[in-house]
Amino acid sequence: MKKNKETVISVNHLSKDFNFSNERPTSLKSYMTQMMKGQFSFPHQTFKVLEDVSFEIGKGEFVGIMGKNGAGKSTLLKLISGIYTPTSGTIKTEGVIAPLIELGAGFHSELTGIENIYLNASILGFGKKVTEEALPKIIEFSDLHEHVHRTIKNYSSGMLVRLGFSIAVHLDAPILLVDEVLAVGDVNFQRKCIAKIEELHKKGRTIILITHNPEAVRTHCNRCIVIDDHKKIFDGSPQEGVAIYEAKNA
Amino acid sequence: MMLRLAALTEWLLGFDAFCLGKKFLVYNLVDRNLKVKYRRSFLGFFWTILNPLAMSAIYYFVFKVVMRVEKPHYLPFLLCGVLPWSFFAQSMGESTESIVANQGLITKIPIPIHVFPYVVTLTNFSTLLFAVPVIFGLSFLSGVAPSFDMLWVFYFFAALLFLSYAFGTILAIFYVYLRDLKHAIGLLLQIWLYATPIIYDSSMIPEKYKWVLLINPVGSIFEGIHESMLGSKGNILMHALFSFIWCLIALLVLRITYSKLKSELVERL
Repeated sequence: MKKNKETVISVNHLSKDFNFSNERPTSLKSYMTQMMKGQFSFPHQTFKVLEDVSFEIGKGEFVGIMGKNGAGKSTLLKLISGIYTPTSGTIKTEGVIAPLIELGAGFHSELTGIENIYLNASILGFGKKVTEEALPKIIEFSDLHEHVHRTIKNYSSGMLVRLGFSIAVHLDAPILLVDEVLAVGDVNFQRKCIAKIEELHKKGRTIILITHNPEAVRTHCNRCIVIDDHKKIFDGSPQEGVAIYEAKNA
Repeated sequence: MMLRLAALTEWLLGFDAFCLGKKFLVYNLVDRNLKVKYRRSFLGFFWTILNPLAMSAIYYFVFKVVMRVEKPHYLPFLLCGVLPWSFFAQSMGESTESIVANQGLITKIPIPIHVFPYVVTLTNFSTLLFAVPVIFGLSFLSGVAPSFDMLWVFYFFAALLFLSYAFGTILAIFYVYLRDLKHAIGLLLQIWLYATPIIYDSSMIPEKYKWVLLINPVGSIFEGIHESMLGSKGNILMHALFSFIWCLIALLVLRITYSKLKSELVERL
């Protein structure tokens, strides 16, 4: 780990359990029947999604997080962005985080492109000034031209993705969490997205990319963390990380 | 003034109940709700006022024309109760479902969950504010004399705003765990409407049922509204004090519920 850079994310002995109580009642009727049976407390089946994960990410790093489906990658991302609270351990983050877990969060089909830019930016946690400053850049990058003044219900799925991505990357968040959003859109736009993320990285932004794509990790990341079976099993160079990931998946 | 009061309450409660740090988000969400609600509808905004007006007319016909209730100024009496009630009922109903309805956002974006019931309440409250000229206009037309006491109405409206936000959010949190609430809330509001002096005057309540008024969180609000608008005998200051106490209780309960459940709520959605 590079110690010379200032740390923007530090994760210490992070563990996360989920309650998967199958018999958890969700309606009054089932509460009652449980009570009748004399069950006042409900069985708590916990399931470990992450176990004792620790790492630090320095400013300006481009980290790829790899792992099989269900290994706990997305949960880790949700913990870092503050959606979930850890069961034990701590997470410290410095600066605003733009989570690109879902593009175009909160888009409403009856509103115009411009109206949706404001809505989406505020939902992502940005203020009025930042949004207004980024507005021309967002519109330009999204290639929507005069369509931004139309309601988005007539947009193609490609246009929606372009708009969503464009908003997320132009708001100048120092940390970007990207969850496989690059897998959408046509080839041309994918290339443009990767180039944009590269560009942000060169400007000194910290980027965390969750992906299954070894190629993306090899060419863009300067560090790779592999999560397997809910634990961190590797943290180091992308080449080695990808090799371990591929060996695990073979 | 409202902002200062809100800031002070937030500080006292120790959590950002009124999302003061997120004004841009709140503004955009309210803006969206208003735009979406009335887009592509011909009468648009008037529907929300038209509904309670029609209800008032129905009550007037049933109780004044058919049942001949002896009550002077019964029409303005109904109006100044039914319009705020319709805000309260609508906002409670919509708030209850608001957290579950926005689970797509809540599970993917770090966003405070109480912003959704808050925004729903504010959206509905803006309609009530637009109804204020209607309430005053129709009251004067039916021969109610203007007085300075009428300004108290805004205090009681504000109290109703706080209460419906606090109760709406508590219900929205419980709704995540107990989906029966959706069906129960309609019935609850129906009973609540008749348990509140809106169609009848609080002085008409038989002595042995007066306690209902005391345990009804919105009871003194509606008594206060009636007395300030119609200048009937009573004690506005006492109602103001009672409403204030109920607001404090509701916000306190909200704070306890919220801090107990907010971290595990996201996973339960």
